Amino acid sequence: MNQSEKHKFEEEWERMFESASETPPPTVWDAIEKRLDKDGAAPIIPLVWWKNPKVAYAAAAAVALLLVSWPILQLTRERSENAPQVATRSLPTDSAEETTLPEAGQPATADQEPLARAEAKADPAQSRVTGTRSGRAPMEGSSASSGGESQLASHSAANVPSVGEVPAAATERNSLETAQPSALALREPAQKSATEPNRANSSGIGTEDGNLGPTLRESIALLSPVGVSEVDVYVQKRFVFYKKEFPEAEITPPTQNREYWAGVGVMPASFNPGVSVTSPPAAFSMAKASRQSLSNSSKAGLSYAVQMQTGMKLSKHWTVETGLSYLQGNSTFESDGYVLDASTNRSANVLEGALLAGAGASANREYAFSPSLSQDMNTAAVYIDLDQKTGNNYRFVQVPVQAGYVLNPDGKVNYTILGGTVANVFLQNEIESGAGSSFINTANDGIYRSLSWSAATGVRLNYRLSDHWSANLTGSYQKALSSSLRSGSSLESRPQLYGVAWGVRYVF
Amino acid sequence: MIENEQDLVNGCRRRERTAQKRLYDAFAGRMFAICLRYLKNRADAEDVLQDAFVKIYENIDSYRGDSPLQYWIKSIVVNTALKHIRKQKNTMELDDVHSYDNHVADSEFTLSGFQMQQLLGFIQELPTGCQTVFNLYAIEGYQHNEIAELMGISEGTSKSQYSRARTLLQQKLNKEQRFDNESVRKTQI
Repeated sequence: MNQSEKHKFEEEWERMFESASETPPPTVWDAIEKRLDKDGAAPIIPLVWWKNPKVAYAAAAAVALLLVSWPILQLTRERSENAPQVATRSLPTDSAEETTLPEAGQPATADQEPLARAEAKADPAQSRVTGTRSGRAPMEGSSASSGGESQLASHSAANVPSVGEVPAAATERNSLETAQPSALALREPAQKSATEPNRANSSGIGTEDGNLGPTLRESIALLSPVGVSEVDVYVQKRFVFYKKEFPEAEITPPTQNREYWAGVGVMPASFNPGVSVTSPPAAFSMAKASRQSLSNSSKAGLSYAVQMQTGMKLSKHWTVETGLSYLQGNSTFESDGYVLDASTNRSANVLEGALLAGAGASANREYAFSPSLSQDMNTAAVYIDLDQKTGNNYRFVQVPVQAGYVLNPDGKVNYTILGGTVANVFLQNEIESGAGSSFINTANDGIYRSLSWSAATGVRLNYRLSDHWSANLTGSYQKALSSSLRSGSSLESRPQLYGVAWGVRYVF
Repeated sequence: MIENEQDLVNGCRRRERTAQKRLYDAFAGRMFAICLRYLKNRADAEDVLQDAFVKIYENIDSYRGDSPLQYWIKSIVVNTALKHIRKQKNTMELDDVHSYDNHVADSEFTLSGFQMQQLLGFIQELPTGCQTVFNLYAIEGYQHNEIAELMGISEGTSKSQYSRARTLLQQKLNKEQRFDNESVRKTQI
């Protein structure tokens, strides 16, 4: 088979699969989304301290350090404790009588001192080798091999864990302790001298073993290190494949899923101030038209609002938004008749009359808002039963604060259900009477409240144009929570507004 | 055609769910086909696809745009699949037998008569080691030394596994073709 045929084979397979595509089930995306949500909602600082990975790592490190250091400390302590014992036991060199514990305080004689020195002068290297041999001896059942060695070496070997680990310093220390005898070192030769002083050089463990019971001998044998060749060897086969780890890309913590937007919009609306006369104005009472004065209504007119909005996505579904809106609310007030001042030929309908009364009640003003009227018109008022329409042009600055719940947030088209409150800052109301006269009420006139509150709700249809831009259509409804007129007035006004806003939004 | 990749990537970097979904919609089909090639069944392929996309979203910041987005995504999917295979089966039968290099060569070799699902089935029926090496070498275009490094095996093992995979596939293809020819003959009779 030549190379081109090989390539043909691979090319065919590659060709078949290069554009292969298989639609995964929708559950896969659902699972991914859940995991992403979970990752995004992961707290930065765990509430439970022991769930903090750093604490867990520190604890693990401390435990590991303890596990490693404990045996070392133990070993060090054992060595330091065993050192004087070796020195002490190194001295009994001879007979079985020496195994009986000597009594303290017995003085050392001069001829026994060289005995100890003679052993102390033993070559440390030789002691090491001897120790090794004697360590093996009990297991092998040969006491003869250790018989000729010094007991010092044999005990030294018994106290070390394995061959080759006997430190030269320890041997030297034993030698020094022997050369500069302690109380114990001095007293044992004293006992020896009492029995058989000349057997010092021929003493050894063989002599000692002869007087030991079998139990004690077994114990000594167990204390002796086990040779390497006698340890059972277990072979563990390990098969490891694919040990190689692929370098993982650096994991960066996901940023918080929070987005902000700003938008502008315009809203054609239907604004109805909902003005009603609660008590007849004085001029109408004088004209004996109290009943007629209460028969009136407000009709909504075409209005508009220009809006600026900004908002923030709190979670996948929840948003909060606020903004600034300028509302021009046009409406018409209709009354059944009006009063005419016969002396001055000035007329006023019930709305004008009530506003005048309200202004008079609220403050001693110059009625600047109503140049065609005066408080004196009550004197010769005549009711004229003729329908009259009065135009009202309200102007407000509104500050809405609304929460939104987004349906289908991942879709190109999504829906938001809105609810919240609107702060209405009253700017002015221009009243245009049927006779053509007009006057303007402002917040300073003391009739309208400077700030009134409305409840707002609505539904928004949002269409995503690109990653940053979207267009929206919002149907909204606002209803005043309290009268927009000050208390003490014979009027009440609870405006309501229906509107459909069109806007665009930029997502940061 | 995918919409502007850079916008998608930027959206994903901002953790915008809409951008993440669009990225998924754009690549999930092709990546799922890759997962199916490396694994034995759909359930495992779905798991790998899920893991891979989570990794993609988490590491999207490391994508520098040096290579096309598709290649970057594909490399993550393939790596995730390999990791999944390793987890699933620690000891994969990877021997160094060189006796498989005896398949019949055919200069007129073609897969035109086969459906993609059929071929996918053949690949999935291969032993795991053969399946992985075959995918990496024949379809992804990796060299044997790269596969060896990628899988932690020797280059010789990679070659022998590929050779074995090729022989097994050839046998399956021949068997299928024979069966088809016989069916046609019977129909004509």
